[in-house]
Amino acid sequence: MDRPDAAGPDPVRWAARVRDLAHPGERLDVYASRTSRAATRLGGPYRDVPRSGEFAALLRLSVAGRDAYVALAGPDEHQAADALRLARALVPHGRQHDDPPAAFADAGWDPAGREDPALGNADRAGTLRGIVERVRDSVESGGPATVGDLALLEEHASYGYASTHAPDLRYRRSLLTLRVFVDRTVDGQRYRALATAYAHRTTDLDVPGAVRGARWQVDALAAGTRPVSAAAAGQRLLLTPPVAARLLGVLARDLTDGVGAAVPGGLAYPLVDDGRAAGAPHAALFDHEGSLTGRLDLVDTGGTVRRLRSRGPGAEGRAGTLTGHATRQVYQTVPQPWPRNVFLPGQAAEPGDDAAAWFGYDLRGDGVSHMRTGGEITLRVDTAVRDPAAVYRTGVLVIRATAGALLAAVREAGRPVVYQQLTEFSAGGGWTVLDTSRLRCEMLAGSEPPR
Amino acid sequence: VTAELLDLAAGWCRAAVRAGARFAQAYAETGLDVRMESRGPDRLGLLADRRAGVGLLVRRDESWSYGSASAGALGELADWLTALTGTAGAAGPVDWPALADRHDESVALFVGADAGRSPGGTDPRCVVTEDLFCRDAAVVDSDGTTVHFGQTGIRRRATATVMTNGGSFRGYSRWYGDNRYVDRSEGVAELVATALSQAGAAANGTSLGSRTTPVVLAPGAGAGLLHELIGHALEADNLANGSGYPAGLPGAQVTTEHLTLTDQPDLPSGFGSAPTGYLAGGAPARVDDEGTPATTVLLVDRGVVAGRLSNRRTAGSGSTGHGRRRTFRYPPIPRATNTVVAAGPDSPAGLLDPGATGLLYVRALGAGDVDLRRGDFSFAVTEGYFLTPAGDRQPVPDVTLFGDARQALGKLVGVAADSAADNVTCAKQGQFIGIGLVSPTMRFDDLTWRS
Repeated sequence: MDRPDAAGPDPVRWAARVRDLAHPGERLDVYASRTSRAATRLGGPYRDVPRSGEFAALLRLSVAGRDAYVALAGPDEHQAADALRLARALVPHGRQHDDPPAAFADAGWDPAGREDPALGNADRAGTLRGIVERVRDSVESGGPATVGDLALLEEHASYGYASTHAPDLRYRRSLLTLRVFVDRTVDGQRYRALATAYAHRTTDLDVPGAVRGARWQVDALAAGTRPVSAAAAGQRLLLTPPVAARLLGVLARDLTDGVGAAVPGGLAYPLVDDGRAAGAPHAALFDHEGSLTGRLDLVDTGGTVRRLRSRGPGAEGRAGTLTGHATRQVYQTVPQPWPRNVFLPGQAAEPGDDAAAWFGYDLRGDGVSHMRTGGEITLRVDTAVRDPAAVYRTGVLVIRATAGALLAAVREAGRPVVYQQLTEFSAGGGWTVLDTSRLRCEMLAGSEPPR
Repeated sequence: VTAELLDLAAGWCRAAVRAGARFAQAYAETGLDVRMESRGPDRLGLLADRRAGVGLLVRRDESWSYGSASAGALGELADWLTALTGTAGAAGPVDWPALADRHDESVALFVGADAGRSPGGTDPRCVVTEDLFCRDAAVVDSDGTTVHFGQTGIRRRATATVMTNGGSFRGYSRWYGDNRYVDRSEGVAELVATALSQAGAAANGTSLGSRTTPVVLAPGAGAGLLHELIGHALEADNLANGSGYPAGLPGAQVTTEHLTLTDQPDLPSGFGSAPTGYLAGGAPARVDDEGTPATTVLLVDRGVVAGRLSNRRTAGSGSTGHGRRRTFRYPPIPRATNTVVAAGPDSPAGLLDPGATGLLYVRALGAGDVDLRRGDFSFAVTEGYFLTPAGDRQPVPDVTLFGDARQALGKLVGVAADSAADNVTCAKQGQFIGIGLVSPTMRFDDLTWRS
């Protein structure tokens, strides 16, 4: 099966044709995307699930300081003309907006690093076989774990932006998602953990980095339990990269939403947001408003939270620049400011498999972190102890804290090796140490592992 | 519109059968959603979301596939069908017909009715979001189903944010009606007042740490908890996965005999209610998004798990009519419609007896989820009060409920008859859809909660 290149019109040309329908006195911004997706189950006889593709567009019409949006699910140009007529009917009832300056001006995008030629060439099957071998090496060389199901999801996308008041923009990117189930069977019972790696190119998939956290998780699931108190277990809780990524996702959501309480100064690391981070699921050249992305500190080490904004009036009528963070989700009205790819820029050394550590291998409660009343969130971390002699589960650590307090409790962070892909943005996680003495915690006896 | 959509669906169904499908189901849809957001007198955003396209569900041998294409790109669906079946030239109608836009009047009423007055009330602490949903669809399958239907609805939500002592506290309220247009003046004011009251209570609340007490859910709230704990587990695809928690439910006495739980697709003004479909040669009837008559399902009969929710793929002609989808882009999957708790024998006043420990009174729930592998749930409480043994009422912010679903169900001890309705959105496999909730006051003994 060839790489599933997207069919349909070129997004920027389509956007420009629609843009040209604007009347004098109108500002029309057109964002369009063309995406194709495919999934290939690996590890046995290759089974390609048929590809699917879609074209989507977002029109913004602004007249006399008010704007209205129309979203379209296809490239039919008659429907685009109808959509523009609808926008003209809506715009007198639309929002009053302003047009802040853009923060980033660099429109450079290296397509060579963002697309994978290997999946489209004649030896696609060989490329896929190479991935399987890398996964097997990473999983099975580290102990008794084996490879369960294995799948490669491909998304190949083109994006275009055309405006009556700004230069045309375009970019293309592939996003590959490798999903590996790491299995371990003890006394006839199978335990399973999921590892996920993202990259633009197959050669950039960090398979060992993604698989290692899952190996630690499956070792813990297959181990016995020795309930201990948090104090007895220690204060330094080592989070595996997937757990750290999910934790950062919760923090970034709260801090962006404004529900998060103040962040204390003296942080070990800033919380960075990089709109173009290589291999990150939400890497993009520009946002849904056509503003270029870049890298900034969402929270600096002094505890100052940068307020992101879009063209709308904003929660506090705030000033500021457009930083490429305006994203429209299906449940939202117009593009809202969200982070893109957040992570801690740490370089701490990764622990060896023979290291002694009290570690957190799973996180619960992050799925309900939104739609709360206040700034405090309750999370549960499944914990275990790993030392050269044994691995054993130590129960569930319940943490109640604000986003700021959690960020302040981070003592060490390694380079981000995995991402948690949320709907609105992504969070990257590395091996991360939390000082639990700085948090309100309680220890619960663990429940049975999932089956 | 009806005839054109039926022709499209029939043409694609025939094409799939000609290409060798054992079963084919075509869904042709045109839809328009309009969303407005306001804060106080200011409009924050206005967007129309237009869609038109065809989705095609195909069964070949034992494998199922789903493809879709939008108007203007139906040739891509032909390419998909050709690649899937290996049948050259497999195609239905590729030209999208010119359809009368019959929703113009609804949109004009919805958007224009606020001219000259504040749509979101006058309080700048509250954001009001209003959605108008309109769709027309036709379903034709190779087993003889030929159905068309239309559906409109309006939903309003208010989100209040109260800042105090450097903290930020939220309150939420919502309303849904399936009539085409309802005067918003009184309804919005009530929503704003409710959301502000909720946020104010949280702002004035006191964290009580971790406690184990009776928990009483207010009318409308309990169904949300049961939707997660029982409803999702009884969706036929989740049952088929064989995960430990759902597998143990069918036929089991899981809770008090006072609990009878149904899924009712025909509830008037239910956010999840099925549309009225017009079947070829039959009387109008509520149908799901596959054209199957939508039936009321008894999920729990006097404490015993009794039913399940299915669609064509999971149950064939025995489908209960619960195949739902967000748009033509998505395959139909088994979903709840309106989760309804039948009236019980207990008095609300009796259930609210605080006893010697006091109790947590949950006026409203926020986000929640259940891990079907573990049988483990998490819920955020958006309005909670601690009732002291002396009968005083004390607001508690940031309450989280979590624990083992089966154990929690076993602690349900009382159900009253004072039912109220709620409406929520629910996500499964990336598909956000509306769910109606109806329940009376319900009491659980000895749940652990944290604030």
